[in-house]
Amino acid sequence: MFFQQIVNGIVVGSVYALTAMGATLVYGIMRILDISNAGAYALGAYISFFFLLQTGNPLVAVVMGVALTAVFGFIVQKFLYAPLMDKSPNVALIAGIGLFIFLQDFLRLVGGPQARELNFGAMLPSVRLPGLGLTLYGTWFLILGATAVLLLVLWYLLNRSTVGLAWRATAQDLETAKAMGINTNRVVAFNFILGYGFAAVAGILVGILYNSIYPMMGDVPAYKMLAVIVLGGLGNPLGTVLAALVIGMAETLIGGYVGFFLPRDAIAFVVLILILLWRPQGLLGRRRVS
Amino acid sequence: MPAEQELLKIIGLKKYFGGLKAVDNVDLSVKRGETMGLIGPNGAGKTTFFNMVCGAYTPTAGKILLNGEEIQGLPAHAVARKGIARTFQITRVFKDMTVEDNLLAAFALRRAPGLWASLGRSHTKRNREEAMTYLERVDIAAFAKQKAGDLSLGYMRRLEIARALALEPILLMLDEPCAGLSKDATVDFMELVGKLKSLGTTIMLVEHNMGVATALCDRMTVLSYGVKIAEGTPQEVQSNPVVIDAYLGEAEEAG
Repeated sequence: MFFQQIVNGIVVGSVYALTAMGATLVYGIMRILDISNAGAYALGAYISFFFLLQTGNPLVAVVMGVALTAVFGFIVQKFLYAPLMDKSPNVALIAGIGLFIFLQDFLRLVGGPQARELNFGAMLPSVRLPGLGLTLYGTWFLILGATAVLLLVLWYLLNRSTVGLAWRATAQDLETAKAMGINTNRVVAFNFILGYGFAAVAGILVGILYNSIYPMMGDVPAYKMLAVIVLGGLGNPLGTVLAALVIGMAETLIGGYVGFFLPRDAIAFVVLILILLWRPQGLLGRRRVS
Repeated sequence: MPAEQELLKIIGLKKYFGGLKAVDNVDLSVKRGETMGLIGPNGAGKTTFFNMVCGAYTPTAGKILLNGEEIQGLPAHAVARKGIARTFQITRVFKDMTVEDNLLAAFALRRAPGLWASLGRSHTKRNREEAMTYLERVDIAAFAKQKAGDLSLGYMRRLEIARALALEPILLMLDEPCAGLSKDATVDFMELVGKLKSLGTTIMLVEHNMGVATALCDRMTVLSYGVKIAEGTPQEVQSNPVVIDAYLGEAEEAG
């Protein structure tokens, strides 16, 4: 039972990490909280569902879901955020919320209000380990594997590749990056493509995990993603992973053992408040001196 | 002077902010290998002028020719790729990155144009060795692995210069590089600029401090209220009554 809860906590944390990673990347460069990233999460799941219905091929469904959502991210940056960059960040925040609401209603109109099955899970076998009292579901391997691979790729891209160098330079100082000959418009576009791609992967994996997608599926991730980003230290990808695991684990263990008088989704925020009292800059954030 | 000697030629450059004529109809030329000083009292339009040459501002009117090619209005990153490297008045190193990564950011991307190449490794042996040569040139190679934000101000300035040199510029533009430095650091810094000059680097230097500018520049252009009021060798400029008036006027206003 205990091991079951631990593994469960890691799976939930992995999903949160993927969900919040897109918005973390966007915040890291643009300093705006991109709520519409949670809309991309639902959009990716629906596009994937559509292609699964059309082709019956899970691989095609996943690839198309991620690719088209990434293209959508490029469009969002170009036509929604780019024109708002010289305004206050609140304007971009409100525009992002507007796009998020639009996306949810768009999915409801096109896909219907009812939940749909994203039924890949049955294709994956489960493993029982009775000695440890542990059942490992096939979807868990999928989620843990996908998260590990994607986070490693992201780590490589940000810390060891040339485009990552340009990303970090742009995130720290846009003007100076330009003076170094870095085409910051391209870096920002790349950032959104990557960020929305991550959101789509998260949405698809959650759809597979619970075998269910619905138009409002981005609601809870939208605010939980904020908790994870803030806890991680705003725009710090490694901090986001750490914060996601902390929250995932806390939810599973507190919800599973202690019991809690508030709904399970509230645990994330209790954890957030407690940790921010201790470290106001977040787990891996830098203390800002103004 | 023969045209081929002119690396940078600026004709009738203007920048108006609404009714304010920050830079008004300024001509200027910089010859290959020389150090040109752009001086003037506070608010004379030096930094605005500088920012137009670097592509940070779009001029209201006028032409900027680099090697005979018009570059006015190009975005800043395109100007940098044409070979104009700059430093900032307030030092802007990438503070959370190591000293080495600051350098790599300046040339790794140029080495790897196109999407696929830019997904390749940034910290190749060749790139790191080259980064070290630039750091050695400004004597901060020992700090390569340190976070740039932990350097002293004088060393940050050196890092900025190394980063600018890593762009392999044909024109190096320094915006008040000695502002805020201690006396010793200023002397060290002037030595460094002297070393760069002897290597044949063409430099445009914005400077508020007449002493620093006189020591470093071959020629100077003086701006006041956005207009060019004098040009010549440091000796000519210093003895020019119009220039003395402009600087004295500032001293009186300040007093």
